[in-house]
Amino acid sequence: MSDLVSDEIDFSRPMNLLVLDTPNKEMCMDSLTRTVPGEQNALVVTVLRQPQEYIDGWQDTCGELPAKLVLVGVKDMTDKLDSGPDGDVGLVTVNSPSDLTGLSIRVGEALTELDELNDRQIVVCFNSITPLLQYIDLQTGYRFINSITGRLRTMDAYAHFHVDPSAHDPQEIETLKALFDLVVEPQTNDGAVSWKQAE
Amino acid sequence: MIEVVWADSEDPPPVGMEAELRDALGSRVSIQHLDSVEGAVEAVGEDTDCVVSEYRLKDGTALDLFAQVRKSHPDTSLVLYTETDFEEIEAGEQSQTLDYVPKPGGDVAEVVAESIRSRTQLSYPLPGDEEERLMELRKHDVDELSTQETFNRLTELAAKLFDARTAFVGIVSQHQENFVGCYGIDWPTLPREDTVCTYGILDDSVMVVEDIESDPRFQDSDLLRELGLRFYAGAPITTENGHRIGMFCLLDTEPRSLDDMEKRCLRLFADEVREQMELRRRIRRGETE
Repeated sequence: MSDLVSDEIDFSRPMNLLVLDTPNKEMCMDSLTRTVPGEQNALVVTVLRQPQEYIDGWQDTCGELPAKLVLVGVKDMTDKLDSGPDGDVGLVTVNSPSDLTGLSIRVGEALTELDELNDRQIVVCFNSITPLLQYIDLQTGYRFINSITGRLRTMDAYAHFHVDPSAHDPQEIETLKALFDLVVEPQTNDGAVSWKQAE
Repeated sequence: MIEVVWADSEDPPPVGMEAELRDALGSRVSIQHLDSVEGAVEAVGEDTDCVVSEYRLKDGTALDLFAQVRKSHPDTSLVLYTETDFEEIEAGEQSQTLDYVPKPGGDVAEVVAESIRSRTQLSYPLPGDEEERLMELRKHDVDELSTQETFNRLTELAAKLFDARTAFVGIVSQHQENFVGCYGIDWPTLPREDTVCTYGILDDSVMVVEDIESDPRFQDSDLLRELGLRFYAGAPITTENGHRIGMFCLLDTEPRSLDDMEKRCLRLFADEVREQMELRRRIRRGETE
């Protein structure tokens, strides 16, 4: 377990985790590398950060990539990925963050593929709910996230979803919390940032 | 009974699908196979739990079908089970949430079962005791209890007391809210995703939305906007066993607030409704024994 995470948080079981913070690379990699990369299949849905940043993140943190990595991005993102000689990495895109049909299909496609590959642990990052809700209303966004978290639950995945609380009405955040097993937020002690369970 | 509408112009549902779903969900399962958008839309009803469709149907696409079903039955799960490649799928104007399973290969039974079991395509949160709450609700059939006149009187009294345009007693069932006593409005039912009470039954407190237009949960509701409603206050109707089956509510066309005394009074109205239902249920049970 990483020292970024408070001991009070039980990470011993698969879960859907909501991360209340501006997109944070350390937290992301901390959650994604809970198991050894070679023993995991990973899905990253990113409408904020470039896919290459995730590949670099794995390389920097662990020196290797997941056994299989699928990245779902949006159309204007670069499609040139440098994953090194051994990376089994796929990138697919949708037209825009508001293309829920496209996202639903791309995510479903990726999860079916990862689930069928073998019995490796599936880890997931969804970055982020915030731009999604700039295009669609809360109800529509709730349904979409509900459907993804439901699918992940059946696959015993470790998944985390980012949302920037400063960009939303508190009532929106309260509503979204119902979809997650655990909600965490950053805390600072003597300048060091770690993660604690949110109220 | 679980009801699934299966739209595919060529193939029937996979052999053994009914049995797989029955085993996964622990309930009897009925799968109705249709080959067109039109046929499938007609087959979908209040009790349809899930619609599974191949992308290309003889008179349109699954996305045409899903758009219509989402509009008429918003709680129904939609599963796209197709061999069509992503690049050939035209999303059209209406982007929507669906579960996708590639055909062949994907475990469609598991995805359908989970979407039904956990109701993963709802657009609103459920109370933690939803299953028990719905069972409790079946014991309080308001039509049988003949409460409407009494509840109409109570809502008129409340509207006058609070100087509100509207008051109502709403019972929140699995997919809709049933208005079983009203003053100032005449709604028989509304889809659960369109009602504020859906959020009111999530906890015990009196829920006050001082200005609906500035609350992100409701500000995009076309229905509330069309009705010009700005203020909502509701007290949960909680049964003896602690399940919140509905709300006693006030609505108004201007933003406003409620003080603590007013909240307490509203709760008294909700308690009165609960007691009326309980007493009538006991009397009725005595009559039939």
